[in-house]
Amino acid sequence: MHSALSLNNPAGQHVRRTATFLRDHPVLTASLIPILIIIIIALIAPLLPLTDPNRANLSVRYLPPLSEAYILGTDRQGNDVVHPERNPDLFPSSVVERYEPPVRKHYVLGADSLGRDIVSRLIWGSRVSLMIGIFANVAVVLISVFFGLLAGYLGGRVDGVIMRLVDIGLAFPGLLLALLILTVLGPSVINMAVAVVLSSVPLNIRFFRGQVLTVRNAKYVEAARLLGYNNLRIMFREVLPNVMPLVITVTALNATSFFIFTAGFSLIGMGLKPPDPDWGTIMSDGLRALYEAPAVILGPTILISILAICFNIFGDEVQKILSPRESQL
Amino acid sequence: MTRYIARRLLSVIPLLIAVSIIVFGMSKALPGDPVAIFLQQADIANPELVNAMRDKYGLNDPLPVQYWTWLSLMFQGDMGESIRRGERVSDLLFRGMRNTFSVATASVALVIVVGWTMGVLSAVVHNRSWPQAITRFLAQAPVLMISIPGFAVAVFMVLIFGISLGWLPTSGVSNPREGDDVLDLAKHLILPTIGLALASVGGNWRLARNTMIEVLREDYIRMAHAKGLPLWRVYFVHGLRTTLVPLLTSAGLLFGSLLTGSFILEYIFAWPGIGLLLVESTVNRDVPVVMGATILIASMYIFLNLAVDILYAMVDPRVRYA
Repeated sequence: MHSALSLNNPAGQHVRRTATFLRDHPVLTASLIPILIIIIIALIAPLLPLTDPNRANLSVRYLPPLSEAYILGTDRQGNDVVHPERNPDLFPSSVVERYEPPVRKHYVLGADSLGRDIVSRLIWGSRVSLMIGIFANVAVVLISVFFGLLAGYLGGRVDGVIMRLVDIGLAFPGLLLALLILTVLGPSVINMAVAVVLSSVPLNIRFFRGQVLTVRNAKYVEAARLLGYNNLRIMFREVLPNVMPLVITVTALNATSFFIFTAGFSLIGMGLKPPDPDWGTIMSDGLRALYEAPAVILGPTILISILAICFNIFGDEVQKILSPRESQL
Repeated sequence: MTRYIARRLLSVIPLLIAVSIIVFGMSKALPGDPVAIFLQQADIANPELVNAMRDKYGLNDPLPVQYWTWLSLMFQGDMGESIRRGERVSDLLFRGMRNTFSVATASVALVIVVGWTMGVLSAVVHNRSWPQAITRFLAQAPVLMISIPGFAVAVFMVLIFGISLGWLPTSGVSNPREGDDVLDLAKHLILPTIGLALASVGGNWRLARNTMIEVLREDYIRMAHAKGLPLWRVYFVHGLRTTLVPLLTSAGLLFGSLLTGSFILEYIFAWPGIGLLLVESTVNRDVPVVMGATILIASMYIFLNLAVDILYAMVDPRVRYA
């Protein structure tokens, strides 16, 4: 399959090694595929032929999935006038320019309480959720690794101060701290990210501190100290690389909880300001119409479940690869 | 041991003070003057009246004085009155806690009955080398349970059992037409309990399975086999006994964390527990209730962690000197 040329080519070798790795870990690969698909679709959303996710159209309110409506024409603002019936006489008042014949429009997952296309809202909404997830993950890892290193390696008074602050953060269980922060700051994308970061940093600092403590007295750290390296160098050049592999596991686990956090907050009405979509706001819209249009809530719920399951399996698999002995059961 | 307990008890005091300062600070950082909002609802926009009411409620005092008044009143059990509901905050909290308590108890019961049983059975099956498909399933099912977020489970169940099949009520604690009926309460409890407990059922299932598999490899189990004891005795008397220790810890922790309320699930099921109370008061800017609920939840959580630490120290003396 592979020519001799690709062997000499470092980039080709890299690709080949990755491919072999993925083939050897089929579960890991399988869990990555849905995650990647969702990320790619979110990234190319502006290129997809989607209707404006915030464009309301009350005549197609709670349209069931797999149904179609007709674009009868455009109104004064140049927006499409959509109606479930083909007959233009039913809905002519606002139409300025008629289409003859009306254009068919498909609603694969139906429309929500304001007649907005759910597919479009889901895809645009995934961008918000992903942005918060990625931003929060990077911020949490940077902050917690840094303070975990300081507390764990330096010990003494620094450790005392950092850990007392961590204790205060940990006194608020689960989402309570995030709820308080969001209450004060008010709902918005950035505030939600800040709330998620601040509320999950304490636990992560404690985790990384514990990991630093286990390598702190290793022989190579002692050697570095005897060589006269300063603390900063030892912390970042000797200790940090030995804590780094854990970042992957922590990131995968955090990713799940951040998705659930953000969706949950939007669901209870503390997340994003309407009309901007994210998966939680679509769910909250669907929660109000469980009887009329159960399909509205079903889409985001299924997507969140798939993502959560995949991230969990991914985290488990990475952990198995990193510490094979503990996971033989 | 006494010294350790005393030290841990003392360490709780600064933590509680810090929590109370954060909660108080939060209430002051909230945008909007509560008195003005309140008067606006009554259609009175009179600056003099606003000022008079601010004086009456002590809102014109310096912040440390306000903090001290609030704290000392709270120690006398007076957390003030809800702005929106006109009820005493302590009454609201008590009612919320009662409802959260009932769903938490039901959840722990479900975890014990289903999670532990399935875990122990999976370990036995693993040990007896049953067909791979069954062993695999028993090992993987809990992973799935842990992975699906609780509110997704809740939504699926509401759609299936509440709406499609119409078997179970999907919101509230009771049907007003039936009054205070135990059977009615039980019916309302089913869906919230499963939604709240499913992930923990999975977690305990996995924990029970892994612990029991380890335990069954011990020498004393081989000894029991060698003595010719019947299999059920080896598994369910000798093996189960050791397995129960970590399981009990996990159930205790679970109960504690459930008591602090899951506001997303309570919101979905409109279950009037402490979590729903907190969410509704937050959305309505009902500051006294938010403060009371936060303080209550945080202090319960602090004391729960303290109790766990002390229990660990009793079991494992090394912890005391750490």
